[in-house]
Amino acid sequence: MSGQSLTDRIAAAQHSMTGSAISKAVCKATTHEVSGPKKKHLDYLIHCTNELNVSIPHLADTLLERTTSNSWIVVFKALIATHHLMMYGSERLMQYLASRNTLFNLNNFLDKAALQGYNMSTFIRRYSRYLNEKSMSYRLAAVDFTKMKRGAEGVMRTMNTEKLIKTLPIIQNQLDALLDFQPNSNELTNGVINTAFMLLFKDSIRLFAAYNEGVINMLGKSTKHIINLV
Amino acid sequence: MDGFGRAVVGVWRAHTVLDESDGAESSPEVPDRFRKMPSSTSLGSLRMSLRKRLPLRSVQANSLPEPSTTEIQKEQPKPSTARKLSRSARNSINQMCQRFQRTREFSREECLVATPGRDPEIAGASSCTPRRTPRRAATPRRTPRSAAKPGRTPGSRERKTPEASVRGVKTGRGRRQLVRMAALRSPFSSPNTEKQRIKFDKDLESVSSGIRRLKHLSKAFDDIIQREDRPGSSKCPGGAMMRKLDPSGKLSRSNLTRRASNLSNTLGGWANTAVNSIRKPN
Repeated sequence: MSGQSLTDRIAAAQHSMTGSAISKAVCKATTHEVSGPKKKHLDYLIHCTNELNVSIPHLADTLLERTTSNSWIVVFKALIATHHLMMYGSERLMQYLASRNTLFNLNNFLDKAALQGYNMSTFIRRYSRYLNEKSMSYRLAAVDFTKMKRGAEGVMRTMNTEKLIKTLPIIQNQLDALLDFQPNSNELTNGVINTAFMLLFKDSIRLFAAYNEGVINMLGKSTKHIINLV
Repeated sequence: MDGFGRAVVGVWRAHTVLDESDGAESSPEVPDRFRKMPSSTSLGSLRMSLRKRLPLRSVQANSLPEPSTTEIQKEQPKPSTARKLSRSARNSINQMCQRFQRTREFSREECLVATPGRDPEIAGASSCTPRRTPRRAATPRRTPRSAAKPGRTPGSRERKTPEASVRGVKTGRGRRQLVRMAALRSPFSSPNTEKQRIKFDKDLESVSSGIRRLKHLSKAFDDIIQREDRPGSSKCPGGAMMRKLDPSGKLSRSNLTRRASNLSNTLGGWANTAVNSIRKPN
């Protein structure tokens, strides 16, 4: 329990007394400690998303509630936990988040109190925008581009032209929102932003792979058209 | 033209006599649609004016009509000369209209390009400027081979062309020659000439090599993702990825760090400049 503030410990104790294990896990994953969320707490949350008797809306709302905190550390860690669950958790959570009209409302977030508050607030705004875009992509395309089947028989390689024309801009928008995070090397100075960066990096690889396959498909089809004309 | 002119003059003379003698009371009832129809050209106005006067069947060219009711005038049979005159006028007018339509359609074909967003019928109705910008045109349709296969060129579905209006018109060799000339000049035309063929082959080659590279890249990404998804690979998630993506080491940490530091220095310089410029007015 090193590094946790008194507030975190009191909150965790309150949740354990009320018997809300999910709230306790969320609270422990989003403490004021300047480090990424602990693996054991995230694994517990992933396990919860796969349980049928767990309320996914309750879990999502608990995480979203943590993003209303004034501390950049708590907010950043809540975003990281949400992103982690989107990537590795059950698809039910992704479906619920995509069904909401608004997800993260952090466009004006600013933490003036802390030392790194100003810098990190910028990244929090960008990160929240990316996560909103990610859930919007799922809403529009009904598929998670980072989890879809790849390869010669993959989804993007076998998609028809009409659907491809509609899907590629969605991937583009998500990729643009991801690249807007724009971290500099001298800004990756703490464990929180490093964890976020790693998650974004993994997403970028998968997104680009999906986009690449879409482009290969599109180029192949257009080349065939041209050859048929000639 | 002479017969037509004479017919027109004759008919007009007869009607001017009528106007002077009869006055407004005996004027025939003209349907409203004829009064309201606008006509911009002189030919159109001539047609409409003759049409307005056609119901006057009881008029005799040489005699003044009696000041009787219009019903009596209508019942009386039209004299043969006036009838002949009107018929000849109508025929000549129809011929003129047909000639005019043919010339307008020919000039529309010269355009070959429809202004984007405009209906080809409307474009043909108004004055069509002969813009020969092949980029805008659906000129792939105009090649002799592709004429039978419309709508297969990229982007051709979205653009309206005047071809739909041109297809129904059967004219002589002039239209076909124009179409062939435009097709040869267009960059999207089939590579008939040797030079164009070679260039086209080169372009295809570059596209196919690009596709091969992308496929190779895609396979590399798939391998990396598969390795990452394997259990136990989370200890060093980034290293394997970097090694696979960049075997030559261009994207090595030191290289990236150097580039990132250069970028941050540049951005820092920009930020300092911005801050200094904001401070100066104070």
